[in-house]
Amino acid sequence: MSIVQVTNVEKIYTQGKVEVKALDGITLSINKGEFVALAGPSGSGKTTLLNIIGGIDSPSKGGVTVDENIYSEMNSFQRADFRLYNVGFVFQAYNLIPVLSAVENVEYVLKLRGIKSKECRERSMAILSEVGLEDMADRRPADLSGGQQQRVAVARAIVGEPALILADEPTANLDSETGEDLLKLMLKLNKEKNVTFIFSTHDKMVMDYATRVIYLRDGKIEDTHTI
Amino acid sequence: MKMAWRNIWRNPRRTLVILTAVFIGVTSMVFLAALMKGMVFSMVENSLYNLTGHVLVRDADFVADPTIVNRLKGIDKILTKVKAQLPEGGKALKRIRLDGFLNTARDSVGVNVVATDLDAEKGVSFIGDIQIDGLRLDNSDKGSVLIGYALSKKIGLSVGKKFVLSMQGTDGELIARSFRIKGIFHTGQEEIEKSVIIMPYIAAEKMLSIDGDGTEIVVDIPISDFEKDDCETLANKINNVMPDSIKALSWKDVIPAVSAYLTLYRSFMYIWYLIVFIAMGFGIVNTVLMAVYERMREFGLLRAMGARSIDILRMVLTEVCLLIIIGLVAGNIVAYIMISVMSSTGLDLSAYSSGMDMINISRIIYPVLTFGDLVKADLTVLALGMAISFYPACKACSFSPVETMRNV
Ligand SMILES: Nc1ncnc2c1ncn2[C@@H]1O[C@H](COP(=O)(O)OP(=O)(O)OP(=O)(O)O)[C@@H](O)[C@H]1O
Ligand SMILES: [Mg+2]
Repeated sequence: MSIVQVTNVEKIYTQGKVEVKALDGITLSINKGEFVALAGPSGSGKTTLLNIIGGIDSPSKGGVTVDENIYSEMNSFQRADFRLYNVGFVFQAYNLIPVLSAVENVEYVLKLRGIKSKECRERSMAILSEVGLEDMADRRPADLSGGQQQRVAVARAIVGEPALILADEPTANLDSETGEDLLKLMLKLNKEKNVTFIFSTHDKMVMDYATRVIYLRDGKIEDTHTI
Repeated sequence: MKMAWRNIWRNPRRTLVILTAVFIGVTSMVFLAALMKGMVFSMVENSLYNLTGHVLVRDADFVADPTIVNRLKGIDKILTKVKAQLPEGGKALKRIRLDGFLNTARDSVGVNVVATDLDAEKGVSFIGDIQIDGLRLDNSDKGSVLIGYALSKKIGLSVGKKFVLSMQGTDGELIARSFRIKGIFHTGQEEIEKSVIIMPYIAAEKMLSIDGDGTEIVVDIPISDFEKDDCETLANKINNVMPDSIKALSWKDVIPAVSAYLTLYRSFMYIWYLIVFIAMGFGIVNTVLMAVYERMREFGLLRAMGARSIDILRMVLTEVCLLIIIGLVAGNIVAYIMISVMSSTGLDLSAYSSGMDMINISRIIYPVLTFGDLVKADLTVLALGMAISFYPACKACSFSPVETMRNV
């Protein structure tokens, strides 16, 4: 069953008079429960594609459907709401709100949904222990290591049980061992909760974990590997 | 809420800037308003103390033609009726107040004769507590008067000397009588000292042969706030029980210039509020805007997570609101302390008093702070502060996650 359907997506950025074609006719379909890697050199359009799938950017041409919801038919308010319930984001860095502790960062998503504080806290603590950070729950991001911060970010992305988690180079700022641990964690959550993951990476080692690797170059799909 | 609170303390220097702006703004607003009000009220009070009182009851024609013809006949009955309308703590007394001429061997000077019960004037007009060189005037003394220090200098007469006073009688003829100067009074106000002659009620009654009549009834009631309409209300109440030939006027109608001052003061206050607010507003908007730009990425992140613009708007406004409230509380406390201290000691303006006399302001000003003024200032700051913070708050909403998360 396909959860993400990208059809003929083009994205053109205009910087002054120069037009940059970040995405050039992308069509792909991702099934529920897949663990997909987007690979490709810098500037190939990985981030742009993830942003468009997540609905925080919109394509110049073509359409995106996530879980049978068509972005082009939603207004920005509806898209925000859709993200709140269905999409989790993990970025390369600066994922956390510095004034909130780890557990507060995680529960923020739930609070936005209007869930009662007690339940928010319980669910967030449960997720934090799943990612192995129950002892760090009260620390602020500044007091966590890079790997721990990314784990909190993953915990936050998954706490609301979204259908889809998008991670843009989640391991780029980590050493390879920590990066591998994070990938293992993501894979575990993917298996246990049947959440679809799409992440971008440069790292060959990281790609090895994926069930499918999509290679981008100059905004086009160059190659696809399914394992 | 918790997040807003913590965000405030992220950059203590910036927080301090906003707090200081609000603090100085509200302190100066409240304090200056209280001082101004104290000044204006003292001016009003002093003007009213110069014989006007709070409500003045006279013959309807007396205002246009203040002569003996338009006197109040049977004034004691009218006085009783007026007294029945007074609120708790109110006072009313009768006077004969007419113009006349003071003649000495050398001079003839126009004067305003005020015949009254000197003891009853206490707390109603300056007559009740004037300083006197010489002897006090006895209420039954039919042949003596008090004159002002300035007048005594002008005509060169001292205590014990006699002069002739002439006034128009009921038949239109001049009546002349000689009086002895029993004492010389000081008020500090040249205008009054030069023109007013004070004598016992009975002296004028006898001289003019108008037994049982007078020209005015002056009313004094307890007033805490001259901006309120207590006096109009009372004047209306009195008019309701009086025939049309008798008219009660509140001080605002008796001396419209003074009430115009009150209006002027109010407009000035609003201008002052506006100026302080603009300065404060710039401080707030700039600092909040800086804070918002610094946290651009965070707002982008929140948007990506699914926060709606209204969530972010609320977050920024909560922060500003907290800051303003803290500033207000601090400002109110300090302004209150300053005002409390000053309302017992007063602010001594005697150094500038020569100019002050002209506009009837006392040499020592006691600031007047009403609860309403405080609330008004606070609400103004809070409401306008929040209103202008919408600008940086909307900026915060406008950051797109794509833009802010790029260039990591
Ligand atoms: N907001 C933007 N304005 C202008 N050009 C943009 C913008 N965002 C992306 N681009 C351009 O689009 C192209 C694709 O960018 P994108 O960030 O998607 O690549 P990427 O594969 O994520 O690269 P990297 O590995 O460096 O993160 C690049 O040429 C980039 O310069
Ligand atoms: Mg990228």
